[in-house]
Amino acid sequence: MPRYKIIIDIMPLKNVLDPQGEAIEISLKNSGNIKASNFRVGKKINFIISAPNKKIVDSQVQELCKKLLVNEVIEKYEYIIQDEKN
Amino acid sequence: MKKINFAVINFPGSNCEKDCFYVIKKILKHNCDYLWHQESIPNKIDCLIIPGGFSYGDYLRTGSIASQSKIANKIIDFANKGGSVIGICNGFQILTELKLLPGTLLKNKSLKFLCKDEYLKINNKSRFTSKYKNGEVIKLPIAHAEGNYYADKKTIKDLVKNNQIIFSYSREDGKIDEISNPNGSIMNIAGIMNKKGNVIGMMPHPERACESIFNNTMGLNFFKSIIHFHNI
Repeated sequence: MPRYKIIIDIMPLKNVLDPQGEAIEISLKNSGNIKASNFRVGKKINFIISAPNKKIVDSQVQELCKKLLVNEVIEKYEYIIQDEKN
Repeated sequence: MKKINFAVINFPGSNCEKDCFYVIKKILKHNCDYLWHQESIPNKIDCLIIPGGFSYGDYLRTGSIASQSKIANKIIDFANKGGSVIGICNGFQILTELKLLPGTLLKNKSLKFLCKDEYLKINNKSRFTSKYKNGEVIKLPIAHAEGNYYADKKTIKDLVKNNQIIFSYSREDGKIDEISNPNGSIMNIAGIMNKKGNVIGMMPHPERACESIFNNTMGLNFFKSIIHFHNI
């Protein structure tokens, strides 16, 4: 069965306070000419799914996100599906 | 008064489970069992306690891995049948991940682990707080890094409308304001119950304030309330 690599990016929703992002922003205030702002800290999860095709993988990834990987009260997610060999 | 059957659920990384057990069994003289997270819930149980701690090392999100354990669906069934469920600290986080309570607990606004006493204003219209006076202010310890209650505006509106906010961080005189908010929780929320009134989640630890040796017995009425409820 084909194996697919899944890469999920999980980020806090726009309206949710992200104290880690704020702390990073404050600590980088004295970075000379670099004007960096709006830091948000999320997480990245990689794993492999074995399934007959990409369409099935897609629905399985969404199922796993809703079941455990993402808390949609505070987080949003995006993902990409690659052939494992790439 | 009949003896009430409590059970304290243990996950890898739970703590305070012995404190809960001790209060119920040794101080209040009621029945209490431990349940491992792979066990079933015996039919005799009246009240489940999900204790504090760091189940599964707080990996992914606090309480999230515990919400996938074997006992999870059994907790949901128990709650749906009207059984009393108490989630303290990490237990509160697990109950939100189980969707038995709305919202979630974010990292404290300060990003610090907070371990101190906090004043709490009580809404006594619940089976968990009936032994307190309405509006009474008590002091209980908190000990958490993720206790910053968050829910969307509609959920908060519903919590207020349905009287589901049971504990609010306050000043000693009961004033609820930003100064008395230790962790950034919306509306100073420290504890909520579900709409049906049989599931409560709270960040403060009543089981740590039940003996005079600690110079604080303000947590006792919490456990006495639920014992009273199951004796009606």
